[in-house]
Parts: sequence; C-alpha cells; structure tokens
Amino acid sequence: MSTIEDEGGRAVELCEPEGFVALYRREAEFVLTFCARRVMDAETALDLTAETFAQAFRGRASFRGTTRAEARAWLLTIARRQIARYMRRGSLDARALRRLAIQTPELEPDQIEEIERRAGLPALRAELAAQLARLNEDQREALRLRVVEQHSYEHVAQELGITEATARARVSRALRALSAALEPRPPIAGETSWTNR
Amino acid sequence: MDEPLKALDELGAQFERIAHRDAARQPGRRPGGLRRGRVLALALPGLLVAAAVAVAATGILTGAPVRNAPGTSFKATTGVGKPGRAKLLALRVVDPDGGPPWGMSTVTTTRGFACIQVGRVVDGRLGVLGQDGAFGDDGRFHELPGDVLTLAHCLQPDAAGHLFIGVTGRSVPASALDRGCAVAQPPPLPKAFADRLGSHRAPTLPTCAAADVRILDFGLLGPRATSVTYENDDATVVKTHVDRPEGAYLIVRRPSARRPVTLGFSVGTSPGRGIRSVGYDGAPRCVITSGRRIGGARGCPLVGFVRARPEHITAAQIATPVRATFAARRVRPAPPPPGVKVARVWRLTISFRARHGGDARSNYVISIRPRRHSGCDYMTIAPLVHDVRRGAVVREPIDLPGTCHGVIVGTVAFRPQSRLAGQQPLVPDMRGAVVAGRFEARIPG
Repeated sequence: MSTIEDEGGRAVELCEPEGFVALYRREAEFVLTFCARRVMDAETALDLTAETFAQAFRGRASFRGTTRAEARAWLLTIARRQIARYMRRGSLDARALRRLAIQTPELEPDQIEEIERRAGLPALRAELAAQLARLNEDQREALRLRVVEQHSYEHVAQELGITEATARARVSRALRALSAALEPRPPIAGETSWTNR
Repeated sequence: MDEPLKALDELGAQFERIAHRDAARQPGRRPGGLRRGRVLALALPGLLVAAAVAVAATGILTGAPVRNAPGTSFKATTGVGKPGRAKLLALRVVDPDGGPPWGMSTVTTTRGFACIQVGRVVDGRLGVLGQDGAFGDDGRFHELPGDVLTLAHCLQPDAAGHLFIGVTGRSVPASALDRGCAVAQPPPLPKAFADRLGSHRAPTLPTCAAADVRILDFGLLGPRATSVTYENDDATVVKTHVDRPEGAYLIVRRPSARRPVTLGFSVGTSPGRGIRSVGYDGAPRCVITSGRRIGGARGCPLVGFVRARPEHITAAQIATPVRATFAARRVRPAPPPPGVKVARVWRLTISFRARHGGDARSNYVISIRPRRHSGCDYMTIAPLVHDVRRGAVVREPIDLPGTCHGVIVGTVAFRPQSRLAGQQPLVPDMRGAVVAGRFEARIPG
C-alpha cells in the first residue's frame, strides 16, 4: 500500500481518507495552476482539476509511488490526459466527478482573477506573445497553419513548399520553444522558489 | 503566503466527505445500496433464492416491472414509448439519502414525440424502488420498461431530433413512483361534485413523509449546452456539467423553505427557477433572473434548436364539405361506474373527407360554438386524437351538454406542425390552423 506524508510529516496511506485529503491539500493548487497555464482559463482549469482528483480518488488503490514527487507526477499524468482530451474534443470529461457526485464550485469574478494571478496568466500571455515573436518566420508560419488553422501536415508542407518531414520538424521546434513558457517549476524538496513560471 | 483558494477549499471539503464516507463502508459492501431497513439485501443467504425474482449484481432484489397505471393511455396523444427506443443517459445523481442513483432516459414514442423519464438506476436500468408505499414497500427494484411512461414529459423534438425540455420543481417520492404515497394532498373537490362521485372517487393516497420527498429539476438543453449552475441545499452555488450530446441535467434536492413540496410544477422548453444559469458552447451563458412564478423565469434561448420546415398547406388544398348530424335523442356518454349518475348528452357526429393526412403533430381540429343568442353555453376546440390517412372519411363523435338547445356552428381546420419549439401533443389550439370546412346543425328538441 502506498503512503504519502500528511501536513505534519507523518506517513499515511493514500487509501485512508487522511492520506487522500493530505495529497489534495498539498497538490490541488499546483494542479490547478498546471491546468490553468495550459488552457488559459480559470473555470476550465478548475473543472479539469476537479476531474483529475476525482480520477485519482477512484484509482488511488493503483498508485504505487512513495514520494511526493511520484505522487505529483501521477496527478500530472492524469491532468495531462484530461487536458489533451479537452483540447482534442473541446469538451470536458466529468465522468469521475459524476460518479462521486462531486460538484465543481462556481467561481465568482474575483476568484477567477485570483486564480489567473496565481497561475501568472497575464504574464504568461505576454510571454507567449513575446515567444511567438521570437520564433523565426518559417516556424511561426508552420505553427499557425498547423495549430491555429488546424491543417494537416501534408497541407502545411504543400502550403510552405517543403517536405512533410520538414513541416513536422518546424512545428515541433516551435512548440518546444513555447512550452518552456508553460511549465511551472514549484518547489518540491529542497527548492526554495518557483522558477520559469 | 497566499490564502487558500475558496473554490479549492470547497472542492476539498467534498473530497474529504467522500473519502470518509467511502472508508466508513463495511468491507465487501458495494456503493449504492438502498436505505437501511427498506431493502432485502443479497446478504440474506439463500432466503429468496427460489423466489421468482432476479438478484441484480448490486445486491438489490428485482421485482416485477412497472406497468402503466390502470386507466391511463398515452396512445391518443403522445403515442406509446417504443421499447427499443428508450435510451438511458449516462447522467447519475446521488439521492440525499443514498441508495441507487437517480438517472434519466429518453423515449421516442410511436407518434413521433420525444419524452424524458426519470427514475432510480440499478445495473444500468431505469426503474423505481419498492419504498414510500410503492409496490407494498417490498424493497425491490422495479424496472421501467420503455413503453411505460411515469414521471415522464413529452414534447416534439426539433428538426434535428433534439428535444429541448425543462421540468421545474417536480415533487416526487424518493421511490421515483408517484403511486405509493402522495407528496401533497389535492384541494378538496366541490361538495356537489364529490357527492356525485360518491365512493367512486380515486382512493386517497397517504401523504409521503417529508423526508421521503424529493424536488426534481431536470431536462434537456440541447447539443450545445455545457453546464448549469444551481443553488445547493446549503445555499452555495454549484456548477455541474450536463450530459452531452443531449444537454441533460438532473438536480435532486430535499424540500426546503425555498423549495417547498407542491403538486404544481412546470414543463417548458427552457428550464425555470430550479437552476440559475446555463452555459453553452459558443454562446453567452444564460442567467435565469426571476423565479417568482413557477417556471416563470426568463427563458433561455434554445441554442442549437433546428426549426422544422412544415409543408405549406392552403385552404384550397384541404377544402372539404363537412356534415354535422345530431343523434335524435340524448345518450349516455360512456358506461359510468355503477352507482354514479352521469347526465345524458347530445351526440354530434362530424364527418368529412380528409384531404391531407394528420398525426400528433399536424392534425385536424374541430371547433364548435353556439350561434349567437342560441341556448347553449358551450364551446369546444377538439383536436383529432388519432392518426388520419389522406383521403379517409373521418367520423368524429363529439358530446354536448344535454341542456343545450338551439343551433351550433363550427369549423373543421387543419393545424400544420408548428415551427416553434415545444409543440405539445394535441393541445386545443387553433393558431396557425387552416379552415377546411364549416358546418351548422340544430340540436333536436
């Protein structure tokens, strides 16, 4: 059975109520920020966070980690899957929430503002714009055609007069350059501050 | 350090409650059992093995399926549900007392209407529970077959087949069947009427215990609805995602001072006061601002509604001679129950040739009124409650009070399918109707 530390530093089993609650208290804001920086919307991020923890709760018996970092990685794997699904389908998965009958709280405008502030969204938006401006024109155009216009790689290649492999490489490099702006680096063990938010 | 976020705290409190509830369950006990003391559980070893009941995988015994209440018939209006066309939606909502969750199904009827039906869900089947007086409090689960409509509401779907419907503030027993106890007692009948019915009044059901009543708000908001917000029992506003693509929502609450038990409820195309707002894909959130009258909140736009394109019918296309004939003597309307006095009536038979087919959506309507200064205080608008084949001769009997005398006049009109949302089956309404023929007849005597 996997254990995690509660707020007092005691080891508690994740399948015990105290264990899951401790995990939630420690990681909820991090997961919320993680989601917010990817979907750029506080309400959607809260929905994704709620579903992430609901799925974690339902699958907590299968968690095999023992460290805080492993628990966080486990949660982020679930969150990434939710975000990817949301991006792909344009709709939120709320099956686990429904099964547990958990209702996502409604956010008041000041709470939305606060989440955006904590996730650093205003700065992130500016940073993304700056990063986009820093991309070379070939990469920016490939990214626009693939991500914004949602054309196939074949179409992107035709449009830019390059091979499909080159089109994929340009889009990939552009996304890697932008992704650095998205990753939060919160303190876990030994770190003292968040960097590269 | 920043204060904890209020929304995360609220969410965390829910997880904490669920974690403790989950831990408190006995080993081996599955979630979702019926209320203690009201069910026969699988744990009773071998007790009912030989009985003619099925034991569901959840450990809840299954009893006989629900049947339509005696005397009810949906054939004439909505048609009956097609068993193969009932679809249980994925939506599940916990009951405040626990037990099998609430769920909702959609049913397509033989006359082209779409209905929603709510109940409790066990093993992926919608049904009711044998409690609150239903099924003699046998504690079993009773499935609702697709052709049985109870706690169901039907409207015409849009041209794309999507149903838009909102039911507001329906008080029901927690059993999900309104035949075991009454959530409230109807007002007493006028004495003269009660005396006439005598012992043939419908038996009065006992009033449900307040703890056994639920207030339901449910409906379908269409394919572009994403979420609804509503006020919880503790006055917090919560958001819940609707079930897509139907846009289904179902809210189950206990009665409270703000949501008292009542026999009244509303049905419309838009949700009423039970919810506060509706979120859509690609359309502004609709905030429901007023709840002062039942279902009287400002309607939300029907985002995604596809209008029907009914055939344009002209009077010339359907013009037909109409014959109106009274029976020579007054007759008894229908075999009354023994001992009940029913006044004799004048039976008028209207006959005409239908030059256009009619069904539950596009139908013939007969209207009758007395000619001015005639001796009959009577008017009626009667839609034909059966399908009519093009070219068929229709003979429709209509009963008028036996006290009438003088001359009546009337029309036979054809009402094409409405382009608007929420057309109800066979509502007496002449709007948009095209007159096919007129008639006049003198009441004998």
